[in-house]
Amino acid sequence: MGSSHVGEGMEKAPAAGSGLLKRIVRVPELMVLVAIVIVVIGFVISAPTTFLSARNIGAFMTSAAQLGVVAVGASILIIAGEFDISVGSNYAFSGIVIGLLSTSAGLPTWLAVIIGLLISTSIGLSNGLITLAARIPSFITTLGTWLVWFGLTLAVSKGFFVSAPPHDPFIAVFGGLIGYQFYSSIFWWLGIGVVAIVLLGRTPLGNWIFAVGGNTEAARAVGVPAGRVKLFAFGLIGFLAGVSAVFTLGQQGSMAPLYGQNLALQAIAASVIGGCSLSGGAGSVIGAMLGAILMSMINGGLILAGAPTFWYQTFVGAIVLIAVVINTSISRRVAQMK
Amino acid sequence: MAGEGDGFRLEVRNLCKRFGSVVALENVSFGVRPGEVVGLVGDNGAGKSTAIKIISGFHRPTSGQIFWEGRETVFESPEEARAHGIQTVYQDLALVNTLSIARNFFLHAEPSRRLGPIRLLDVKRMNARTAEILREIGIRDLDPVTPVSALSGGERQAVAIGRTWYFGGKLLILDEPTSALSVKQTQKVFSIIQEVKAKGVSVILIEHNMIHVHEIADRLVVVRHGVVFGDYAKKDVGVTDLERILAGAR
Repeated sequence: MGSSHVGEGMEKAPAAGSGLLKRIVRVPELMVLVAIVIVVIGFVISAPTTFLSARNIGAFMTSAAQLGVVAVGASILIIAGEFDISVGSNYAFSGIVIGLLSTSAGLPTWLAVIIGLLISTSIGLSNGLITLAARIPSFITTLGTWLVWFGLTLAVSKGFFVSAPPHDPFIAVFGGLIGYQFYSSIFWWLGIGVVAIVLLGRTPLGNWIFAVGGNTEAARAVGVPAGRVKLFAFGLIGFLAGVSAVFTLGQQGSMAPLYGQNLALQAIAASVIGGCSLSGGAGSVIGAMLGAILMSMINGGLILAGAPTFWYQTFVGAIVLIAVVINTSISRRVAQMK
Repeated sequence: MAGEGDGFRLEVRNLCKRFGSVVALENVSFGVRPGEVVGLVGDNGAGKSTAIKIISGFHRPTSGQIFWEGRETVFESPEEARAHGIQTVYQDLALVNTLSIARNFFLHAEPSRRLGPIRLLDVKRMNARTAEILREIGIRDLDPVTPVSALSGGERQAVAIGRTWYFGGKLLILDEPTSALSVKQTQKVFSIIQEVKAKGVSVILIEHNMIHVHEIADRLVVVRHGVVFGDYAKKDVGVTDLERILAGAR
C-alpha cells in the first residue's frame, strides 16, 4: 500500500466530519492519477492513432522503467527524510564500470553486473555515512558527491561511450527487447516496485522509515535505530541507480558518461508528483512509479504529437508546481479543520 | 524526609547538579509511590526540568542518590531508565504525525508474522489491539487508523500516555501535558492520568498551572532555587497557598 498517512482500512469513514478532504490526504496517489487521465485524454485527441499503440505504450513504459526504478528509491529516501542528488552520477559511473569490466577487462557479464551493483550500493551508503557522521543535510552531501562521481565517471571513461558486450544473454534478461518496444526492464521494475510497496507498507522496517522521516526524535525515543534506517534508504537508492544503469546497457547497448545528469531531479519530481512530502514522513512508492509513467508519457507523447521536445521540461515543471501547491493547501486545510 | 518504609517506587535523595559553576539543583529529595501522582511545581529555573532529566537518564547527578524500587540505581542513559519502566512524555516529541495511531502505538514493537525470512506487519492485529487499549484507558471515540496529524493536542497526549502505560511504564513523567490545551482537552488528559494511576502507574507531573496541578496531583513538591521548599499532601495545601509559596511568601 504505502500511502501517505499510513492508515489501513480506508474503506472506513473517519469518525470526524469533512471526511472527503481527509480521505484525499490519505490517498497521495490521487493527484497523479488525475494528471495521467488528463494527459492520456490530451494525447489521444492530438495523436489518436499512435498514442495508444502497443509500440508507444512499450516505448514510454520502457523509459518509465529506467526513471521509475530510481524513483522507487528516491521516494523511500524522501519518506525517510533525506535526498540523493548524486544518483545520476552514480548511475553513469556504475554503468561505465560494468561496461568496461565486461568488455575491456573481459570479465563475464554477470560478474561485471554484480560488481557494478556493489559499487552503486556502496556509493549510496557512503552518501548516508557522510551525512550521518558529519550531521549535514544530505542535499549538501550529495551535491558534493554528485560532482565527485561525475568527475570520476569522466576520468574512468575518458569521456567516451562504453559499450556492453553485444547480444549478451545476461544483459538481455534485464534490458532486452521483448517486442513492440516492450523491454524486459519494465517487468523487473514492476517487480521491484511490488517488493518496495510491501516493504514500506507491510513490514516493521517500512513503519520505521515513515517514522524516522516524520519525527526522528520520536522514533529514536522508542528505540528505532534511526541512523541505520536512513542508511538502508541511502544504500537502496544507490543499488537502484545501478539497476537502472543495467537497464540502459540492455536497451541501448552502451552507457555514456553524460547520461543521467537529470536523473536525480527527475526522480525527485516523480516522487513529489506522486505525493511525497519534501519534509519527509509521507509519500508513496506507487505514486512515484505513476509519476515516472506520467513523465515518460509526456515525453513520448510530445514527440508523437509533433511538438518540440523542450516542452517536456516545461510541462513536468508545471506539474511539479501544481502537485506541491495542491498537496500543501490540502494538508493545511485539514490541519485547520481540527 | 523519606525513610525505608515509605513504599516509594522512585525516590531521590539530596540530588545536586552543577553545570560548570552554575548550580541547577542544590538539594532535592522526594519520592513517588505506585499509583500516586506527584506534581512538581516551581518557577522557571527552579530546577524542575533538571530533576526530571536526571530521573529519566538524560543527566547524571553531581551528587545524591536515586532509589528505584528500593534499590540504589544510576541511570547511564535514557534507554536504561526506559528499560526500568521510566517513560517521559514530552509535548511534541512523543508521536509521529504522519503515521496512524496504531502505527505510532506499536512503533518499534510491531506485531508481525514470519513469512520465510521476512517479517510482515500483522496490520489487523495491530489495529485491533490498539482499539482495545484505547478503550481500556477510556478513549472510545478514536479510530486506530486515524493519522496522528488529525488529532487534537489532548488526544495526542492521551495516546502517548496510553502507549507508555501499555509498554510497561511504571513511572510516567509528564512535562507540561496541558500547556496549550483547551479546558475540555485538559480534562481528557486528566482522565487518562486517572486511568493509568488506577492501574498502579506512578506519575510525576511538571505543571505551571496551579489549578490544574492541584486538581490532578496527590502530592505537591515545591522546588525553589534548586531546593525542595515543601512536600505537601493535597489536602494540606490549597491553590492559593501554592501560589503564595511560589510567589516567595513564607
